[in-house]
Amino acid sequence: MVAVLAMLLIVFFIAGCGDSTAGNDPAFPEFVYRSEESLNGYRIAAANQSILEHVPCYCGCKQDPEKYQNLKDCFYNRQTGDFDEHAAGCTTCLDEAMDIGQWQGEGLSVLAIRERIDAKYSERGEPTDTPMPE
Amino acid sequence: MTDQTNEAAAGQAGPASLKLRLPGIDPLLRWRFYPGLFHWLFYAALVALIYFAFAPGQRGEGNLATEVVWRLWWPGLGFLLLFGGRIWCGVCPFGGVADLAGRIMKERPAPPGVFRRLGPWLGVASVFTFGLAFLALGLEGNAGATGIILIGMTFLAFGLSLAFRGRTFCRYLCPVGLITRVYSFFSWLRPHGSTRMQGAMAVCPVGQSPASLRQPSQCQMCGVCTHDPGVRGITTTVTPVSPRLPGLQEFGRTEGVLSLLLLGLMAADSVRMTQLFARYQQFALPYLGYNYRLTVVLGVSGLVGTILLLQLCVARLLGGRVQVAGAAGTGVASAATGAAVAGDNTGVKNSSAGKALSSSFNSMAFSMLPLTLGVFLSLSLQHLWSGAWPSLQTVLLESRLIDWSGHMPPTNVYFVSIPLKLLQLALLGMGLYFSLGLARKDKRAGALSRSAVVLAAFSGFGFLFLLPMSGAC
Repeated sequence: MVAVLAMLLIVFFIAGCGDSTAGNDPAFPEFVYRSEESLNGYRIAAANQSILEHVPCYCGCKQDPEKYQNLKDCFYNRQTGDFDEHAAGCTTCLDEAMDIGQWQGEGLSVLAIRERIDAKYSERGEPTDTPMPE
Repeated sequence: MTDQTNEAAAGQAGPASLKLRLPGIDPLLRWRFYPGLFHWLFYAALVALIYFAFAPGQRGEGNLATEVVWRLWWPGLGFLLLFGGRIWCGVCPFGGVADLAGRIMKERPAPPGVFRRLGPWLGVASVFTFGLAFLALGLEGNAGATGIILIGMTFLAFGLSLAFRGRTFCRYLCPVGLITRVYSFFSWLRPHGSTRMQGAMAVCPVGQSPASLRQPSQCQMCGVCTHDPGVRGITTTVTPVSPRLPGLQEFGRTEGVLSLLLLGLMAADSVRMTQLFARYQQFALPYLGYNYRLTVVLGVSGLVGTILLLQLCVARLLGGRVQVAGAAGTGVASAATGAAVAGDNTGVKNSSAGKALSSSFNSMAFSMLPLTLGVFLSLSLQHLWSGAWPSLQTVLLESRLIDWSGHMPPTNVYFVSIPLKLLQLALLGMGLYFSLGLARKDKRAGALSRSAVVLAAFSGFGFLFLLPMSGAC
């Protein structure tokens, strides 16, 4: 009985650390669910598409400029508009999205978010050619 | 010759009579710098990993700490313990920290009785917590949690060793030590005690008497007995496990529960890497307040609980048959028969049923162990296959040994690699072969049922491993 209670405590302690603030999710494809970071990243991307359009991606996807011109393109396919698998397997894209979600929640403007992203991720790699927001 | 006589012969004859098939291991255990030199190397690595777990602005794609710990060390550990047994426990920095505390505080009491009484359950809780945290917190991508775990384990190992004699943390609480303890039943490297080692129990930090060393799972290869004057210490042999499967007699209730717990955790980890997991998430999230972690925790707990319950049901069915066999004079119920003469029929029946159930459960769990190890190695291979090179690149980048040359992460999240699948199926097949061998080896009732359960589990894992799998969650 003690063992069962201990197990239940462990279960609820770990589960209690989870993020339950998210509202209804859009109909995500399967690859989005493979990690908590991925799900949260796609949630933020879906809710903040207009910000992601003005933020460059530093993961190195610049190598394919036709496909990737800003961070939104890592989450949404530029041609079809559907969700793209790329970000689900990319730590940098997800980290950037998480930061955007946090800073947007703090009330920062798109320009301020862009500047912070540039400052934080500039060492990670070459950014996409994304124009500065006006 | 049976396992027991082999081990007994090894113990009685002493080191001189043992054929050491891999020169190097015994001299290593007796080397004056073993394990101290390794401890200092791993202390340095531990400090660096803790630093990087919290360091901002890293150059690599992933965090260096998570890449090294979960994409290189953890999958590598499976293969290390297959060939090197618990040698990791010998050189592990947490064990080193515990030994260091022992040198600082010489006079300490023995661990309190609660550790001995609750030891097995502390171990089960520790492995369950570790498995659940690994899966629910996504430790592979969670640098902060990885850093906290490393710091927590260091303090626990040091603090408990300051307070109590011996490696209390390693012996009762370390999940990695407990996992290696269970799997090392099938290690090729097997430590042996010698009769000249009567003084060794006094110096052994996990309180083992080499004369009754339960091969090879108890010995942590810490090197304490091999360095103590007047004690000859352990010797080792390197033998593929196939010619002599280990005996069920060495397998306790703790190992039985741990074996099935690990089977459940491996099943959860395998499912997590397939699209079935996404389907489960899509179904469960709306019912659980869109809390991802809660869905994982409940899913893993449900799977582990179901597997334990199923095994318990099978053991109960088999237990009844064992009792019948025992009444005929060939089974575990002989103690019950003797006690029945004393007249307490109800108590005897309960005790007899309990023993039969426990014995049957252990036998079942023991048969499943090689298959569980096969799954562990298959998953480890999956991680190494997909993550080892990017992880090494991260280490080199962070060490400034290579420069940034652009990065394009794989867009195919769930991938199929035929050579990888073949290797994984081969590992599962080896697990099946040994599991069936163990299921048949126990001559009591239920060999056929145990074999059927082993085959069912193999089919389930085989199905999962044939699906496209994600290499990094």
